[in-house]
Amino acid sequence: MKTPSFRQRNAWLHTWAGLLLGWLLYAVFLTGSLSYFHEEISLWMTPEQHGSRPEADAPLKALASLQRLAPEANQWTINLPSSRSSTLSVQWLNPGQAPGKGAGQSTTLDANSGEALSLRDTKGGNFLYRFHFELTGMPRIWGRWIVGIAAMCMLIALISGIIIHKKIFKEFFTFRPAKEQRSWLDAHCATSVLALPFHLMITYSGLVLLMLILMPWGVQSAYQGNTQQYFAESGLRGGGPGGRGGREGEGKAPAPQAAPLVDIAPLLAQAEQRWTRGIGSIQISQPGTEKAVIELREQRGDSLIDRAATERLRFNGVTGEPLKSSPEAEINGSTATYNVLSSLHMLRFAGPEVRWIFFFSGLLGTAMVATGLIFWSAKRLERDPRHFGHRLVEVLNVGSIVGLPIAIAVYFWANRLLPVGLEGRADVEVQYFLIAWGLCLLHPWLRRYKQAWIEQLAVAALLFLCLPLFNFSLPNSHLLSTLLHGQWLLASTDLTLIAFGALFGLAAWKLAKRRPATLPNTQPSNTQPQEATL
Amino acid sequence: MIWLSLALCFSGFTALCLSMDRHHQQVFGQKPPQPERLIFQIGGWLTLPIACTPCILAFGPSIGIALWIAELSLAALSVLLLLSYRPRLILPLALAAPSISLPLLLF
Repeated sequence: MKTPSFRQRNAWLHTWAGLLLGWLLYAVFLTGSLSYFHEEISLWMTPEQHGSRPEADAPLKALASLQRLAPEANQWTINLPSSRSSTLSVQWLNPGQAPGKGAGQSTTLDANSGEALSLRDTKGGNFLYRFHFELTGMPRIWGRWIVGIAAMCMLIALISGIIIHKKIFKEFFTFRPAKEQRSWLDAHCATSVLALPFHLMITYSGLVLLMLILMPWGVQSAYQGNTQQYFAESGLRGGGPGGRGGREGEGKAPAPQAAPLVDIAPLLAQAEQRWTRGIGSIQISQPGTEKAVIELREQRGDSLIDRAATERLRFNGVTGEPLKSSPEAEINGSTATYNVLSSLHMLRFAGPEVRWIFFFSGLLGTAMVATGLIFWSAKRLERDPRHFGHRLVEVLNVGSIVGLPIAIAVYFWANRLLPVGLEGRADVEVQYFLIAWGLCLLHPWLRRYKQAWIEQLAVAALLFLCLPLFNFSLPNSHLLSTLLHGQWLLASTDLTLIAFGALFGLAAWKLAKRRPATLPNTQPSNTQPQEATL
Repeated sequence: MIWLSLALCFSGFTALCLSMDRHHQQVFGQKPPQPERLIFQIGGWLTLPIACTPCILAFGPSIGIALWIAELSLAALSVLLLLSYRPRLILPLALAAPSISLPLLLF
């Protein structure tokens, strides 16, 4: 018997590494791509925020509200509206509360009136973001392990895929439509090869982000299990020296004398002039006392190396005199590498244009996995007699490639339709997501393969297209209002939903129109390549 | 800036694909003669790195390069789709895109 060649061995590896974790990778890629917009999705999912249209005096409104809401607080933080949010989010620390992530009280304010908004209970885009690296319904650490293993298989599939692709350059631009198997293979190769740098980057950086879970032994033996110390020393995850300012004056010192806060408007004007990107947040420690310090922070930075660290300006809170800013942390080589990879993955630095371009690259990755899975079953269909494994792949293909988008649409619908006062509302939304996905995985068992595709695609189209229509029942959320007021964050979300719906509709229509060519139970190979993008 | 760079990526890839027998045939109905092939090749390989410049100018080197690489994928994908479905449009679009995106810089 002849031993298989190097390329054949890799083909085997590529097929099975890709197939076994394909559906999971598809879900990770799709929810991950949506995570580039998780703040925008959260905004869309809380219509209570949609009436807030910030104007220039928003910081002063926030300050006035904080003076009313928390006059006794030790520290106020105001996050100003940005290119990704249209409301003010404020936090404050009451006396005795230690600063830290998530400490203290926080609320969302309408940027026009400064009134506190009561938002509906939802996980918003954060659910999709968490899902893409922790899944759901299981302990977080398990989810991270599973996704980590999937990412390793992804990397294996990418590299073996490069090895087995014989004509990367010769067939760089090749796509032959309406040729059954051939078209699916072309689509799979095109979506993989054309966005290969993105795929490699996103997979590898994803693994780096999970590295301490997947390979904890280095840190554990060097620090005897004290991972906190490792984070502090390495400066990873924002735990480095020079952290947040405005912590002095705590403890046993005598209570400082009361003193009015300086007018903040000139300080803001000064900062606006200095920073083209504008001010991101304002932090005031010891407000209303003689020790008050005002710290202004620039809107996100533009380098990958320091995790988009931003400049800060500090002022005396009574006189308005500038103070010396705390020194920035030094960055060493390995931290810089980690920072570049993690920033590239999470895209925290990016403005809307960059975000969109990466979003489309992410969808290409999603399409790569989807076309690969469909190709597997299309190829087997012509060669082998049908057996259970086949049927299983077909069912999982339909139930995940269209089923997951349906589940996401149902999640959005639940967000809109569930009563606002419902107990545990955020979790119920997630339950609807899971139930919908479960049904989509059951449905293809009962239907013929092609019929299952058509029906689910049609349902997906309907669900996505009707969401923007439903928004017309809300006063500030529908397209006419958002376009009129230039609220692009909301308008583009609605338009994207319409685009998704239209693509699903087109795919369903094309597939339904198509006559079965050779086999009675044929695969949907005549549909447009874009359809697989979803 | 982002549009200019995207347009240049698109034109660069168009030139490269026109230097290849199969795609030249798709667009013009014949294989490329030798001098043209060379011009397309050189033009394409020069345009693609040039497309990086607007990105770096607008976003700085680290984000600029990352963005450029992502743009290359999208530009190549549009070339591929046009070749398959509307091969006649590809040359006019490749010539028009950079010139249309230049005035956009003024706004």
